Amino acid sequence: MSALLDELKEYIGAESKPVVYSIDAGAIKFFAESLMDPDPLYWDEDYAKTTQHGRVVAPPTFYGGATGARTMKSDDPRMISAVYVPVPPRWLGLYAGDDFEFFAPIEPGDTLTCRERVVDIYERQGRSGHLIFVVREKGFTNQHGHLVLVRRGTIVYRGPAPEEEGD
Amino acid sequence: MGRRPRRKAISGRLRAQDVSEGLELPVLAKGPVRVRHLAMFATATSEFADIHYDRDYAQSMGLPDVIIQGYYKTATIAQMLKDWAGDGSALRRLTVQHRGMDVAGNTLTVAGKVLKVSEEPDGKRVECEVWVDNQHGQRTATGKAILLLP
Repeated sequence: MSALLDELKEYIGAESKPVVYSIDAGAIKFFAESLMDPDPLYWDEDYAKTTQHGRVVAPPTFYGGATGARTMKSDDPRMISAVYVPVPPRWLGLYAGDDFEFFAPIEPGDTLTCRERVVDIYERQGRSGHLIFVVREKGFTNQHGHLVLVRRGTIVYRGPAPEEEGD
Repeated sequence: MGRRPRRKAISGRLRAQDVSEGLELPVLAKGPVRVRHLAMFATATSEFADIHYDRDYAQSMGLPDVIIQGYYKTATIAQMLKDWAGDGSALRRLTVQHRGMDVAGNTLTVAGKVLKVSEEPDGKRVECEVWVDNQHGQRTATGKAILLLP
């Protein structure tokens, strides 16, 4: 197992090419709707004018799709991240933690540039077996050159149960 | 839709002087969260992991059912904080640990408590403890948030 960790640790510090993409009003509304959040601030310009923002903004934690989504097929493992870390197939990945820093609102029509890097990779022995943690940081800058959001996400990968190994 | 929807003041202004340590934040009840919501969320975020909307695949990976995204729960915590703090407030930081899995169909209760209040040049800095419980009483996410109130 340590051989796998040694191999993966090579990817610490790996950085993506900047991903440039635009924020679509429909995706913002879709995100709010998926969360069952009825706040009209996310889709009604007339309402938004009466708020401090003065215009429609995205909900906190929304940044659209900043992965390689525009250049690759949706089942490519790199969809989740623009920085590829070769965790073996059939390892189950789940978010173990999230750390968002918010600097300015994201608005429909914004053009964002996302830069992503692998911050850390480490392992732990869990109750359910061997676990590998991959920490990635995504930083988002808008068309005015302002850093608007940073997301530091930790994904925990669990290996297949021993009887499944060698399939 | 011919008529305009009735406007509810969702983003009212919170009075900073009413915020003190130990204050419990208004609970946000969410759900049941359906596979439909998870599929929509995956699409809106471009994070397509099949365990969040394909039951057969999720079960083939040893999961009991389709799993609610951790990111989804993080976003519900952000909503709870925004609904509470309202217009003029700013969420500065949200740190969440995902401690347990929630399956599709679960009902989530998102809640929190003020830990610390301090004055800053541009407003009142409020640090909160936040969490998500499901209908079985399991606390599946915990975290901390920092907000700035005007």
